[in-house]
Amino acid sequence: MKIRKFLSAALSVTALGALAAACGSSSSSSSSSTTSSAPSSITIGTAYSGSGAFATSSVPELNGLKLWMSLENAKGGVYVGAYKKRIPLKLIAYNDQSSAQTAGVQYNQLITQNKVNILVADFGSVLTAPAVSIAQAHHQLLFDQSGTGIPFFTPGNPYIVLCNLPESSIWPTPLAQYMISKKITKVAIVYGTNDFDASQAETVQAKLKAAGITPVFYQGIPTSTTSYGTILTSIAATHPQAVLELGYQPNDTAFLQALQSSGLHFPMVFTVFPGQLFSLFQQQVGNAGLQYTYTYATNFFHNYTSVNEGLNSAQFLATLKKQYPSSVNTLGLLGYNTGLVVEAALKNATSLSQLALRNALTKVSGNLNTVDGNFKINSEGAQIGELLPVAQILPSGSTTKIGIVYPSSAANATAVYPAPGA
Amino acid sequence: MADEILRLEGISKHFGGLSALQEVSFSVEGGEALGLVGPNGSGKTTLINVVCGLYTPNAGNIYLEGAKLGKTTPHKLAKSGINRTFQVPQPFASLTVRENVEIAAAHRRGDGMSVVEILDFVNLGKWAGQEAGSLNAAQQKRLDLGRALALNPKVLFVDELGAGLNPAELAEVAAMLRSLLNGGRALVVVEHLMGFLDKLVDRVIVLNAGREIFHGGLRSALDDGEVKRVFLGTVGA
Amino acid sequence: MLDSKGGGKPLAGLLRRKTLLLDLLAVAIPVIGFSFGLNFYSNELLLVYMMVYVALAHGINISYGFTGYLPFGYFGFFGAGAYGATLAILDLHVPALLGMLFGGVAGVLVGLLLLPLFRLRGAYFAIATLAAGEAVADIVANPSLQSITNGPYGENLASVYSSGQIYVAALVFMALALLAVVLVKNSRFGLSLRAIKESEYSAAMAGVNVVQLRSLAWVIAAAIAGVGGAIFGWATTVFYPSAVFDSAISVFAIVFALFGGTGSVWGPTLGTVLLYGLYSAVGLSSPQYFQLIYGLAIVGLILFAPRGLVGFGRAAVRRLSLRRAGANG
Repeated sequence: MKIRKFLSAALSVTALGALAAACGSSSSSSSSSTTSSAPSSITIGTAYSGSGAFATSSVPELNGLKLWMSLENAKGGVYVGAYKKRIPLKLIAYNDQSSAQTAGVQYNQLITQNKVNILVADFGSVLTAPAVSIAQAHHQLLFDQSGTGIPFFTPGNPYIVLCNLPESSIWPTPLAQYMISKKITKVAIVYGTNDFDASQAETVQAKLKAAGITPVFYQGIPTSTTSYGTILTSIAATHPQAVLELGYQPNDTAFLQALQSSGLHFPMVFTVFPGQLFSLFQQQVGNAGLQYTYTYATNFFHNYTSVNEGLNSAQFLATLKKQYPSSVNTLGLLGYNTGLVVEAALKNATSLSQLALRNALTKVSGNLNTVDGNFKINSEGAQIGELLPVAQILPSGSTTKIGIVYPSSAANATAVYPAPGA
Repeated sequence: MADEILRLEGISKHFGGLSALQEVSFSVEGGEALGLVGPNGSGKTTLINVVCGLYTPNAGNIYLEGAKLGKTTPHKLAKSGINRTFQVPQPFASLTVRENVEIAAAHRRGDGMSVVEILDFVNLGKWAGQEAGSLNAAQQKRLDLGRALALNPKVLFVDELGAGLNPAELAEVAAMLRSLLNGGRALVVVEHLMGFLDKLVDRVIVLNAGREIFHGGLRSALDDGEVKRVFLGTVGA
Repeated sequence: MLDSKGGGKPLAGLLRRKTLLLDLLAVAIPVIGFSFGLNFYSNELLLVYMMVYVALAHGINISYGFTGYLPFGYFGFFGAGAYGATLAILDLHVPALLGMLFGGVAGVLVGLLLLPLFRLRGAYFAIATLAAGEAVADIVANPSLQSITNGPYGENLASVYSSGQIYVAALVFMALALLAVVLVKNSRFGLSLRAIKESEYSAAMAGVNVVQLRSLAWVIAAAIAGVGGAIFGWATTVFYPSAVFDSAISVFAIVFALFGGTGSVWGPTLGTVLLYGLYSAVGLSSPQYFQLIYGLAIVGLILFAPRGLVGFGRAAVRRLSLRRAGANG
């Protein structure tokens, strides 16, 4: 009797609450206001990882963006085509500590509370993922910096643009072609079971299989793996000619360190991040452990002399070195390029509405040349056409440098295969 | 002739190399109080733990009302009518005194005393709403007893209920326990205090180092040579 | 609270009714608060996450606060729930709201699978559940299961996104979790659970079927986590395995519950609102030493305030009433 009475009381309270919630909750969009008079500032909102697994990549990427902002503000602000004048830039950056959940709440905050004009994602697919649906639901264009996951780009969603890198599944095409060209038939692949690395592994495997080559070792391991001793032993047992370790920076570092102390030697070793955070790897792994290994040649190592937006390579590197000396790497370049994409959008948009920004980028697609190469997106907002050449870390005097070795159209060094050593 | 309630045959229990009980056998009838005595470490509490399901014996059988008990869980034993108190009281400290007894009473099969009656019986009625953890040791022991009684046990093991009581209190407790024998219940009373036992039991079993060394009347036990040696040492004949 | 000399039934009944009413308030006030929350604060994702965490903290309340088993691997049910719901929605084409129930079922299935862990005690149990949670995560994320779970590529529920429905679902879910705790707390079942937590053997000797009851409490806690994960996945829309199989989720739920005080209906709710609110607020500035502060808070809590905020409150009330009784006596 007692129980029944309170159950009905409780259910009516809940029903009342649900009703109030349904009335109170807003599923409508919150696009930035498009008043006829120009806003006093353009606010850029972003999340970054100040600590945790993604910090080493996220902080330089944010610094690159900040570099772009300071250069524009030095000119009085960014040029906004809709108002035909320069408007100063403001930044709101929340620290998500490498947590996707925290990032999600912060992206939501940036849109619903801070009402930013420009929403920029954090580094990488894991931390970009929470932004994708929030941006779509609130009709806010997401400037995706380096979140290259395939599920992000769907037909019918105009609210996302990949600014800097190709979709991760097409990254390894030159890598696969290089191995085929060197007549490598025994390939070992170990990769982190996350979108970014798994999609690369699948692409390599598919391209090799198309050429009649089956990997002698193909295994996915948890992204949190940092101990590679056992895996290296298993790989060595298959006597591979090439070993590909596809992970994030902490994985690559741990793998290269384990390889060094194991005393094992393979004719070719490839990891993903040395090309993006070269000086960090020189510190953590050392030149001896890095040399003759391969990595992706990002646009950071390409000298773009003529650009139609922003600084060229030489100018950019000099400025970056001066303002953010610890961020002189690929991620710094990506952050800066994001700024250039934002700049192009603001310059060419007819208003500050999010869809107008997106349409502006569709318009400039294919014609925007920056220190990150050619900006070209498909209808879903993903970058196409930009492939990452293969680079090898080669000795240079007492240190090492990155040389682009494949394809020949991009090469500035000659590959040393097989890698020398016992 | 009273019915046999509990019978142990050849119960042995060892922990690793330590033999805690060796082939202990006895029985107890309805309406009877059996004393279980012995020096510290002789295996009295281990015996209770074995019968009450905390330990599984390595050898031997236990019969409740003639039926052999197989491997079973403590809660099933409690529901079938075997229960006990604890040498160091084990109240549900954060629950009230009343709630402690209520839980047990809810699992009783058949009739028995109500919660209020039990609390009055063990003289805890005044503290019914108080947290069990705030009672003193003697009160907590009575609470243990009340909780065990709530399940209307056929045989009840009482573990050193008399410790720390003054003579008046001892007499009271002895009377309380004696009244439990009405209605065919059996008691097995573990005690050090011979005076207290004398008021309560006729028969005793004396254990030493896990072995039964004497079985008979309490008076004869006190005259037995080995019993005297075990308790008093070899002072002299 | 000291009983009067009578100690008889009527007074006990009155006390119990007062406790029940207070407990119902502890359901009504959070539900009403969150119902109107959006009118004051438009970051609905934060509010949804907070409601999910209130429920999770109460799941811990049931498993640990009442029964004494602390599952560090609680996130295993949470992630299973997220994936169970997603599979039901995307593959079985179940409507999203119904999918949340499938999440609960998935959580329960994993909970049943882990029942053998109850052979372990204390810290061993806690850590074993952590290992089990990680195992579930690795299985789901494994590329070999890609055709079912999409492996490492994550899931995308954008096709069923509806912020209104999600908010109401979270609200109803939180209310039901709170009601479950009220029911447990005011029932013989809850009393038996507390007895199990105090002393399993004594509870058994009091006739309590320990295995059955603690398994039931476990399954209820697993169901709560499963539905919580489902709603979380729905609200987050695009998520990877690492986002829903995250040990930080367990840690948060446990800390919120302990800080507020387990064994009560108010405690875990207060703990969640205060600590998760604080975490989000600080996170929106610059949490330099936040993890350090959080870690110290956990240690401090376990050492000095094992009964949490509610424990402090109760102790203060007790001290006050003792003083009053002393003044009268």
